[in-house]
Amino acid sequence: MSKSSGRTAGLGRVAIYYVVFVALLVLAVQNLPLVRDAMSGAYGGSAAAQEFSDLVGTNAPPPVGAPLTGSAWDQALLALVSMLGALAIMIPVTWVYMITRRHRGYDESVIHTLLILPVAVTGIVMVVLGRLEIAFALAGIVAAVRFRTTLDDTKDAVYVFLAIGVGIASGVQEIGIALALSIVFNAVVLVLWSTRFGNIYADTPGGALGLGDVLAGPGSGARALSVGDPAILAAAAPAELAELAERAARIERLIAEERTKKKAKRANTLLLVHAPAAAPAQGFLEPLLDELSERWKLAEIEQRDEGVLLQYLARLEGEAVQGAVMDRLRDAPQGTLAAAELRSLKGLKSRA
Amino acid sequence: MKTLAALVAGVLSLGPTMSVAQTTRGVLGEYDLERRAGRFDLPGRLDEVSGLAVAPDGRLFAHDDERAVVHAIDPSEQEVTTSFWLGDPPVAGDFEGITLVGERFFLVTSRGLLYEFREMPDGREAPYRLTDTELGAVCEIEGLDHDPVDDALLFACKVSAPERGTIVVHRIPLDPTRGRLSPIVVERRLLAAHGVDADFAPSAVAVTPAGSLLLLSAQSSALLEIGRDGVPIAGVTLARDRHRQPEGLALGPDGTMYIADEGDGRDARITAYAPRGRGR
Repeated sequence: MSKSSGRTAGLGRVAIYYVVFVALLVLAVQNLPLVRDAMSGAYGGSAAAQEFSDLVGTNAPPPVGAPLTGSAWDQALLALVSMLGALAIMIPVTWVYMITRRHRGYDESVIHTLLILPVAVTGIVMVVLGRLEIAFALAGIVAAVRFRTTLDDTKDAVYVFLAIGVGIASGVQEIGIALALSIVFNAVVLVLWSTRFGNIYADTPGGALGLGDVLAGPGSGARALSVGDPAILAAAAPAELAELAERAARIERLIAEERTKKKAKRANTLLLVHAPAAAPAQGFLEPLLDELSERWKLAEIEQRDEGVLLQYLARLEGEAVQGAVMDRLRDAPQGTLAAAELRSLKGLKSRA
Repeated sequence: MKTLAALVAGVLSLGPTMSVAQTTRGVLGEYDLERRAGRFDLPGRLDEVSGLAVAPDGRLFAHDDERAVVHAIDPSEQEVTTSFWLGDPPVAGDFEGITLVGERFFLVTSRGLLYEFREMPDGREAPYRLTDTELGAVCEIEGLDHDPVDDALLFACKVSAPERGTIVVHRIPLDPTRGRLSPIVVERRLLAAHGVDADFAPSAVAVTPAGSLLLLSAQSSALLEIGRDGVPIAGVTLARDRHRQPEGLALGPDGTMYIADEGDGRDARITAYAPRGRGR
């Protein structure tokens, strides 16, 4: 199955799931009072109760009937329906998460969390609902235990927020809101993902760049800033995949080191310079990089038939600086450089 | 042939009296249910009118059966004057009865959730207080009224558990410190003597000025009057052509009896009956 047909099948599965789920929900609401209760929001009327208290004032007559708890069986069944509802609503969210993260990779525990968290939150909300003292106690317990974790991707946090939202909505018997939340969230995520909204490489087929593209891929050449003889630059693209892979592995190690640094200090540009000899080229390039880059590092000097290929990792702040570097490269003394190009490392695929 | 003609003429002359069994006992005996004091159709949004209540100023209050929307009706103008609702959007549920005690409105669901609120202006959302009568486990509630004798809310069960050949009306005092009152229990075997079938399933309840209880059944299309001890006093079957599905019952301050019928495919309607000797 091709990549695009697999993607289409995944999206189709999400759409069919929602259609079937909504149809079953409508049937259940019409025929099962318990599901109707789970959709009614009746247990979530605390705001209305507060408004009622405000309306009738301090001389309000005592309420007729007991606080809203229902029988033990009613509560248990309602909790069951609400939790299963939350779980069912989160299933397509995890599918979308997996579809959109297929290439970048994802953590299995995040998927599990997205399914388990709303179930737990639903139960907790149903326990706490309308009981101020338990709400305070819960806040105290959570503060004491300090459940904290670091997510690899900030977008994962949004998924976790969604899971909490679905859990809260289900807990207050607003499964309709939880369902709407899930549908809208998935729709937004899928639209952003499929249009690659906000991605500076959005016009690049195939998503984020591989290191091979950055080093030599002809697809990336169009984006590179280059000076000098295009024939030499074309020749810089290795004909042999093995050679490319070997070079990519060497550079990748250096880039991996870069990733250990704070983002503000990370190299964001690969400067490839073809020169007849290394020493004169370095004598010209390195003062230039001292002047214009935040930081730089000579990654590799490769001997080639026509001379040398100098590979620098540098941090250049902004396109204006890139342009300034290229201008200075154009003005290099005759015979110092044969050709040069800048390749951005932004959007470079990371390897887990 | 003459005999047949005489028989037909005799049957026709009976007219409405064939469709309404009359009683001369109890409070029911004071009403001439053959003669309507008034009747008017309700607007489309009240097709499935379920409960009915009367305010001291004579206005009627009816509610939808699936949404907590309350409509005030001016019986003299025969029109809905205001509508307000609980929650926005209105709370969904199986609403079965409404009553008011002073300015306190109560709306109950079949599973015993009790909404208390106040009257609001037209088109406004009413804040409400929601409690559980805890009757849901033993009673499918179909009717609600206030009993001024015991200052309690009455909950008529369409189906009660355990079902032992009885009709049950539960009583919960407005003052919660008084505890629950024992329910009023009616033996079904006693109903036949009053012309009411034993399958009588209440759809509404109302307290008469004499303190007896009127039970209305849509299923049997009948009215039953019982004493506070649960002993039947009188029974009346209602004309099916006049009452398609009687779901709401209320007694006005002037004694007028109002019965609300669900539309059953047509417009819902309210029929008024005046006590004998008092026309409208």
